Amino acid sequence: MNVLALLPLAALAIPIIPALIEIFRRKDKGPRQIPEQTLYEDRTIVSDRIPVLEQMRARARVKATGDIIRVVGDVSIPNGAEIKENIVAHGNLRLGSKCHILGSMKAFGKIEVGEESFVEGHIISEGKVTIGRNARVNGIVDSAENIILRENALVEAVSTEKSVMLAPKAKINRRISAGVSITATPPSPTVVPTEGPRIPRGEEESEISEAVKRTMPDLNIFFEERLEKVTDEKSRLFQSLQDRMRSLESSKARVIDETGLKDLTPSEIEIYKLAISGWDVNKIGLRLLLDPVQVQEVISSLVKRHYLDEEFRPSTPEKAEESGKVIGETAATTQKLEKKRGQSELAGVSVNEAFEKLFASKLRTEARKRLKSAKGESPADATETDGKSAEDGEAEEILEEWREASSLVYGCEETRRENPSDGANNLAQKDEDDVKFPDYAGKGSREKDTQGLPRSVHRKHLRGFLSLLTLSFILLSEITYYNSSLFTFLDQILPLNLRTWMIFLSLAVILIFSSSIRILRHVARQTGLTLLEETQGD
Amino acid sequence: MFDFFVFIISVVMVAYMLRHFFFTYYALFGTPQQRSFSRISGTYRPEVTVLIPAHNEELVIDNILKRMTELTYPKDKLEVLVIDDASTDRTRETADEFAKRCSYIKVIDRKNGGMGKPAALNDGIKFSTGEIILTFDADYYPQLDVIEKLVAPFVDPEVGVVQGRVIVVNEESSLVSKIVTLERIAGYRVDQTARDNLVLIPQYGGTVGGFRKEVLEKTGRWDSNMLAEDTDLTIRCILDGYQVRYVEDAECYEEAVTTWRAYWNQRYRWAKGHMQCAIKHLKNVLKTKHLSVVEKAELTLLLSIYFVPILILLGWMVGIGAYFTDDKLIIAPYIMILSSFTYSTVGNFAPFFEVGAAAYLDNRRRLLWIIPVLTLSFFLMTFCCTKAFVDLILTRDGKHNWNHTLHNGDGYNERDNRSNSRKTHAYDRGRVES
Repeated sequence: MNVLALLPLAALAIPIIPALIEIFRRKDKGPRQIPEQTLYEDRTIVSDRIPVLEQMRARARVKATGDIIRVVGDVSIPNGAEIKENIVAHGNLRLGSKCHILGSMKAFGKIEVGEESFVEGHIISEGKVTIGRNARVNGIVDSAENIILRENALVEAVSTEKSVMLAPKAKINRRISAGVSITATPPSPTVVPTEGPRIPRGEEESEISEAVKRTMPDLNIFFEERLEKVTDEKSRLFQSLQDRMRSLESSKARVIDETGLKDLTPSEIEIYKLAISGWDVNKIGLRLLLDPVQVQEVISSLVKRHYLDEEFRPSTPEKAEESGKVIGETAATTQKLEKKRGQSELAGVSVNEAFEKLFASKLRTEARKRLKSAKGESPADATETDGKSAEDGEAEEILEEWREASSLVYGCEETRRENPSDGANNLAQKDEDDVKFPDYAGKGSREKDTQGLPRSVHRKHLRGFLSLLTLSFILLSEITYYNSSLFTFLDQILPLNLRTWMIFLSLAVILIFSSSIRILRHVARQTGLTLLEETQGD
Repeated sequence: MFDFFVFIISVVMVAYMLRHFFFTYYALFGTPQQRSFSRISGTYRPEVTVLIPAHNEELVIDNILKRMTELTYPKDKLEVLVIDDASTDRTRETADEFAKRCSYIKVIDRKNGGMGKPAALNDGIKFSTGEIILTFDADYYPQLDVIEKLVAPFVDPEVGVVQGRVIVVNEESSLVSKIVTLERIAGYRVDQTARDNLVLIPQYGGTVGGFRKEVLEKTGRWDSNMLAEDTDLTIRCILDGYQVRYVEDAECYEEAVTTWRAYWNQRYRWAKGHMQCAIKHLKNVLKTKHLSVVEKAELTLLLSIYFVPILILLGWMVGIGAYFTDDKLIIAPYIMILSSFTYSTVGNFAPFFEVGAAAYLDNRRRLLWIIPVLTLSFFLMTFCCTKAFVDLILTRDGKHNWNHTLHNGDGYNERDNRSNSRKTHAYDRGRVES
């Protein structure tokens, strides 16, 4: 058998290599603390309309028997009705006055509870909820839209993503949770209750609305909805104008000093100028014909290099110099530390990395101080004994002390996940941190790739090249499969049972796989999935 | 002849691949299609009974009971029932100590034991007073506000069952625990999340979850003849018209198995139990009128998932058979692509890309490195499921053994305690209770 046949098999081992590294890496042996907070952000976005799948479920569930009355569409319950079951409506739900519901009410549209009605369960709605005068709800009222409580209405608790509007003498027993505001509404007139809009309506508007409501009560809902839409549009417009004016005003006062920008590339200078003038990332991208993601990367890089502060204002030259000094000191200290540990100097260490390392070493010293003071020794001794102990060969003791100190001061490994930017948390990572520094910047290759424009541009070209290469391999595999005679020369170096088309296809599959990962990352970045940020491990 | 098998296998594989691809895509980029109840977590405070069945759990029982005393849920509305299932160690004594100190902790002594966890839970129900019944395993360690989060969805009258998230606490213990960690992450972070967000059917996992007591009474409690009593109860609740919700931020920490033997035993029980459920419920699922087409399709795929490794094994045999009989398959040129799809599709019930996406979403990128090792568990499960299927066919009389997984508190205790506990423990002995 030709040993070359084993070559593709050897390639199969490549994906296993990182796994082996991970399995045999040194572990953090410290105690593990259970985080009390959930480790990710929660997205509570509910679409405006009823989603198709929910509609399908609702239509099917209507056939279910049980203690729930299910209706697809609007429901209107007459005055004085008494219902013992729960009600689920996939439209609007209107309860007349003096009704008694022993269960809960759920609707995907609006819910109106009439005057003096009594609901013993909960009220859940995706639309606006109105609890009438003297009505009472024993459970929780939860809605994605506004909740309005009329005079003397009594509920156990309210929860909404928008506003809660309370009329005089309306009472909530336990808890109000409102995403936007909690407002008091004036006493409602006898016929139609008023609602406090976010932008005051003109007298004329309110007069018209009252007139329409009086004469055509059936049109109330439509009229109110339209009025709400108009006010919403108005507020959006004002907000946008306000933002624009604010950005223009802030850019007026800024004078660009180009003396401190010698080290930047021309593209970076362009982006820098536009950023401090108050332009947002998308607009800069449009102006300079660049990908907004690329612009964002450059801006992040400028912030990191102290050309810009967090609010995209230019840093003063003094500050830049100071930061330069600090960085210089940091690099020097890092090199000293490395020398001390008998390792080679870190040539080409990045500024961020150096800074992080200095920060880490300072924190480490502080940790030891605290530990010593907890044991009743003087902190000064603690700092001095570090080096000596090491020299005396008490490495084990120091290592143990470091573990204790890190867990005492900074908590456990798990907390690091919650706050990735915190250098202190990284300290508790592993005992090997004491020996060699990990990437404290914590962002791995992604950060390193974002140091400047040219590299990104190269990557972009590479991406295009890769897809071309993939297509070529697929094409080659097809050609060789159907016309194997074309590549007979390869048979001289390959075993006969190893088909050429297989090799091409394998290469294509590998390239497809790697490209998919790249695309996924790119899409994730563009869609702003902050959840996908690297926080652990590197 | 082989063509037919290959066709069937390919169709099944493609169906599962599409399902998981859709789940993964949705977990990454989708928006929830139904409301979240996180907003009212803490507002709704019904009377809750927590059931903790325990059999020889002396090393971990104090962890969870101590935690129960620390929970933020009002103690006047909380009842904790420890069901001591004929333990021969100090489980009972430890629970009694807590019961003396806290009036809301009670111990139920099942002196005769037997019939496994479902029977113990059924006994617990008899003594419960809460409106909502939550279950936790003895080796679990919940977040402080887990009860508030778990009961919140019960505000919705349609919701009958709720499931929280399980996170492995001892992932560093061994390679097996790392693999279990990956599986758990994929199962909860992508699978359950997507199913909940897509208005499909999340699965009650037997722990870190709960029911309305009236739902339990109506559906007939836990079936002690079923090995996957949790899945069985989930399906029965769905068939009764109730909705299952998954609460992702209700997190609870578990101690995963650490040896291949324990892994095999646990998965064998799950596989057998799932197949039991599939045989029992598949017909009803397809016949019922109040489930939408999408729900029926999803439930069918969910119930049949443990048959997939058997199909894969069959596929391999077909491949070998075709090779020796020189039978040319129709799709021969693309068999390689198909196998790669298969490989990446049905890793260990979660495709590898799904596992990867879950680890990515959970900020656990380092775990991604382990993904190739999942191949081991994939091969193991192929044989495990086949064995479970054969055994199930041979024991159709319903007499199944309940294997109890022993826990040593590895994840929660500090290093010194951990090393001691390791010495004193034999992992995962099988215990026959029937």
